[in-house]
Amino acid sequence: MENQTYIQWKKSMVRAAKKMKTPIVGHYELTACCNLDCKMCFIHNADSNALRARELSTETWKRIFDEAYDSGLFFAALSGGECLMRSDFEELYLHLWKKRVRVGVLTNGTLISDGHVEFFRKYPPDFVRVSLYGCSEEGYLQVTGHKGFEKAVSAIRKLRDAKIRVSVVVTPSSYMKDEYIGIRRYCIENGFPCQSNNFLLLKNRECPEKDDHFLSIDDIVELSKAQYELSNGPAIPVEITPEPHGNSKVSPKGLTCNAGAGAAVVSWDGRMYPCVMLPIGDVSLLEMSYAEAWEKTKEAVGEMLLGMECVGCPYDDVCPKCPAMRLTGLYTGHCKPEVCELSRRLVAAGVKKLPDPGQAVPEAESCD
Amino acid sequence: MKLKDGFLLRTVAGQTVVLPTGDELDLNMMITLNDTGKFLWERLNEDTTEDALVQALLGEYDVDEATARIAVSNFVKKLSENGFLA
Ligand SMILES: C[S@@+](CC[C@H](N)C(=O)[O-])C[C@H]1O[C@@H](n2cnc3c(N)ncnc32)[C@H](O)[C@@H]1O
Ligand code: SF4
Ligand code: SF4
Ligand code: SF4
Repeated sequence: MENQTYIQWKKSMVRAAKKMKTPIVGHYELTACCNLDCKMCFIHNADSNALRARELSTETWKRIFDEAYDSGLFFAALSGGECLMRSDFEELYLHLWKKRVRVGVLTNGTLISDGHVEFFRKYPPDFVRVSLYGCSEEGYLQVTGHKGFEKAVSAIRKLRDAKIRVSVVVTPSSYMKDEYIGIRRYCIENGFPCQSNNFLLLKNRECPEKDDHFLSIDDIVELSKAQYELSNGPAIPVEITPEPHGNSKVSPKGLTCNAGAGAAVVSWDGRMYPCVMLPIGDVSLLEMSYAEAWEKTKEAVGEMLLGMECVGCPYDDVCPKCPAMRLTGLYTGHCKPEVCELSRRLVAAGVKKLPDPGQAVPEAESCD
Repeated sequence: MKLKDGFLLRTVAGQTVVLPTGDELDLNMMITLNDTGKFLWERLNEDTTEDALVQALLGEYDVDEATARIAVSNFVKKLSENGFLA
């Protein structure tokens, strides 16, 4: 019985679960509907009515939560779409909360009312993570098609005043380019904890051919450099950089992160995936139990081939550890040439530093 | 000596966590018990003494009495410091 911070405690729980392949983390997309219309969103598409018809009922979600609990769920994250659009949001939240599952909420923040703040004060969430899509109303219109900046930041302030653990996440896309650094700066100035989603975005699940939201490698390098300089001062370019290459003849199998080891995702229409970033496995919880779906998800992850090019690559330490980002065709065993180029250019720009030769490469951090 | 009411144990992935049963949730009180901690906790649901806990440990685990006594005394002290004892 050691005294440790909550975050340390949570990490140790997740680590233990990962070792034992227990789905302790559950990410639940309660809906695909949303009050905003982000042009880069991988899940929401404008025709909400058609999607709503395929959504899971309150009772089905409760059944899934009960089965997840029996499989070891301890940390749930409610997401979407915009989960606050569901009229039964509080009922579903409380169903988990009353079982003492820690519940986090991923939201765009614009629908958070004083009533929600009171509710969260009474039943504290594990975290509320608010996505910011601009640092002005014009920026919001560009990305989301709606105003929302003032509403979102006012919600963050109210949550913070109510001592609720709230943080900001930013998802850079071609539509946000001009305001990305503005948001990061705004968060520093206002003392909001802030993190960014990866620059390499997901494809839209319903229309995978849509690609206008992706940033070019040039843009990513430029934004990464500006972000680095915001906290560290000028980046110093490096003249000579090694070739990205691995030294393995065989592709290693299975992931090193938490996906399908300690964490599962259930999509708004009831399919289980190892991670939102990895729509593989694809088993329906309308046809089988959580425990059965988890077995199949673990199997699918265990069979994934990782790029042999990455084994022993000099960039392994600075390259995005997320396997989903490194892979193109999920089963081909090849990393993306674009990822290699990006890693090399970030090192050349002085934004990322290669480790000293011989230094051990850390294992992938688990995402929550 | 006995535990206060209002806590339950849940074991997930080999980790036993003490959880409050009421609506008050204090994150600074998220506590994980090891095997012996869990064993002692369960005995403390009934009124008991440090001596009885030491005897119970000796009956269940392969430890000598001095070690068991220190383990019990440390555990009880921590419970008391963290406000778990009635
Ligand atoms: C789909 S949203 C759901 C929760 C809520 N509506 C929100 O916007 O935060 C979850 C997160 O995914 C991010 N996201 C949206 N489109 C994305 C994409 N194409 N690739 C990666 N992340 C994306 C969002 O910015 C948000 O931080
Ligand atoms: S607010 Fe979230 S769910 Fe809604 S469109 Fe934007 S990214 Fe998608
Ligand atoms: S994806 Fe990254 S680690 Fe893999 S070969 Fe390319 S640069 Fe190296
Ligand atoms: S590293 Fe990537 S694939 Fe693994 S859990 Fe994180 S986002 Fe998902």
